[in-house]
Amino acid sequence: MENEVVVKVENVSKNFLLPHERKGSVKGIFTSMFSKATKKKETQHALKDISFEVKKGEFFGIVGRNGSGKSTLLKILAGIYQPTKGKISTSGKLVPFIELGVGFNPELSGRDNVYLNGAVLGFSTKEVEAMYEEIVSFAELERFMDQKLKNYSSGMQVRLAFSMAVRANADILLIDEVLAVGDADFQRKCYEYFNLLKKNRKTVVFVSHDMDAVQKYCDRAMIINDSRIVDIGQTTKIAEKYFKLFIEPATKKEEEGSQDERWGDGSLKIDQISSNVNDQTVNIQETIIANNNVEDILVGIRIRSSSGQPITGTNSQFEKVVIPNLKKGDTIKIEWKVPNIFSDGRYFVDPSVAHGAGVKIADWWDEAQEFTIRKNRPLPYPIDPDIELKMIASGEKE
Amino acid sequence: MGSVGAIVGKGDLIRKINFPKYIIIFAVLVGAMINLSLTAVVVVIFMIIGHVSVSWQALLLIPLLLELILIALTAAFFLSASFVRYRDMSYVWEVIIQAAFYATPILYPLTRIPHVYAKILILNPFAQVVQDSRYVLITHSTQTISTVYNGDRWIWAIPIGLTLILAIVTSTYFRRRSHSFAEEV
Repeated sequence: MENEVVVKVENVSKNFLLPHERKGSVKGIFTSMFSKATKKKETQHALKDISFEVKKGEFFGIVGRNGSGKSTLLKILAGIYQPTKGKISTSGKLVPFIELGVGFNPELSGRDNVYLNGAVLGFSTKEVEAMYEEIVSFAELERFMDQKLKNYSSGMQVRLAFSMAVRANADILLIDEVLAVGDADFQRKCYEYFNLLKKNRKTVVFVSHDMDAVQKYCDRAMIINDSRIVDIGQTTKIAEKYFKLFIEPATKKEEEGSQDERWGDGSLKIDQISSNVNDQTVNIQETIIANNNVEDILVGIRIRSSSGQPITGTNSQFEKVVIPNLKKGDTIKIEWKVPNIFSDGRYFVDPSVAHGAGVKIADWWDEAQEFTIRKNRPLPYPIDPDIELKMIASGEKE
Repeated sequence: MGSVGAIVGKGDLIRKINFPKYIIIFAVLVGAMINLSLTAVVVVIFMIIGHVSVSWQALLLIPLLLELILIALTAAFFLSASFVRYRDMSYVWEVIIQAAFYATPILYPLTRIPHVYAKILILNPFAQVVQDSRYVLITHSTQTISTVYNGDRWIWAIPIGLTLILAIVTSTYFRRRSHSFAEEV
């Protein structure tokens, strides 16, 4: 049952027509009948060929820049928009949170709005009645329930809406940036709610710009750019790609543009990299070649586990090592000695080199090198430093 | 009728959640029905004052009311759906409703207009419903569609058939268009 697919999206595309001639009126129909103006219509491809699956109990993140089509996708999942091509299928009750407090009417009292919003979320009057007290006390609005909603402060409205939303008893939840609003206390409540969702093994599709939240809560994530899927997978990998989207011009200049795991402006290149592991240390050696005259060089390294989670890393600035300025054609050789604190498994080495005080990335090479640790101590944690366990005292019960 | 802007007025909701759009139209209809039942009280009071004797035939008002509801729904489906795309529909509709009001014998008796025109006018489902209601509720001296057409009972099929056909056409139009309401509203 765990691997049951509950949301399935197959080759979904969505086009919007951008009319260049206004025909939004009855008058327009008549006038355009007699005018010979060319009827130009431009299609905006909001989504192109999107396919993915979400399994039952999965927390699935969708990230992307503004206007990349995330919200359109969510609206298609919610059934608000119809896809132009492709199809989606969902199983189970689905509740979308495109916005909090959908259907709130400012002219009605808080009490009536609870019932109204309850209906929008798919509750019957009886169900709302049963949990009414709970909702009100959670929102801390006991005294205000007969007040009209328009006299509520915006914080009170959000509290009421949120305490309704958390009661939504759905199999699949679609959440669109509800965390973008609200103060720290409200955000904390949101995160508590997320933890609860995770605990209850609810299926959640979560759209966000907050990479920390995506990495913390999502099991898998998808990144969309220019209406297309860039990648689906590990959240750390996705978060990294998301940040890379914003340094795109540098990526394009790269000569060996074939690998998206390697990017930078190319003024410095990591040429050779090797690693060797012994009981005490992991030694990584690399050679860097300058293709231009470069100053203020910074070298960095990061080590990630096989699941993509960063374990440790550092750079020459933290280590207070000054790398001399290089002229075109110069090479340097460096070595990192990392204490062998890793537990058993495979690890990736991501070296990087930057110039201009670390601002301009010259070469960033993900998974340039990998090494394997075999200590024959299969700890379920990423690091395995020498932890000492001592018996300090022992005695019998008096 | 408040149905023209019904869909557009609920745009906020439509853009945020998926639900069967015809519910909005039925909500407007229920509102109108409540309105009607309140005005009916006034009619009843005046009927008592005027010593109108009500027979069992008054029950025929129910099918007539159903026909009226169907006419109203027809108009509501078409107007609300077309208003989403054509925002000047409301002005066009205002003119049409004025014309329809005067094309229905509400302010004047049907007997006052020449027989030739009365024959055309009574084919209008509105006029047929109004005349029939007067017949069953107030006085049998009211001209119904059948008396205008010299006692031909089959003539009722025209306004009723017209109502049914239009109801099917407009509800199909509404259903087709409802998929794109969220984008256009």
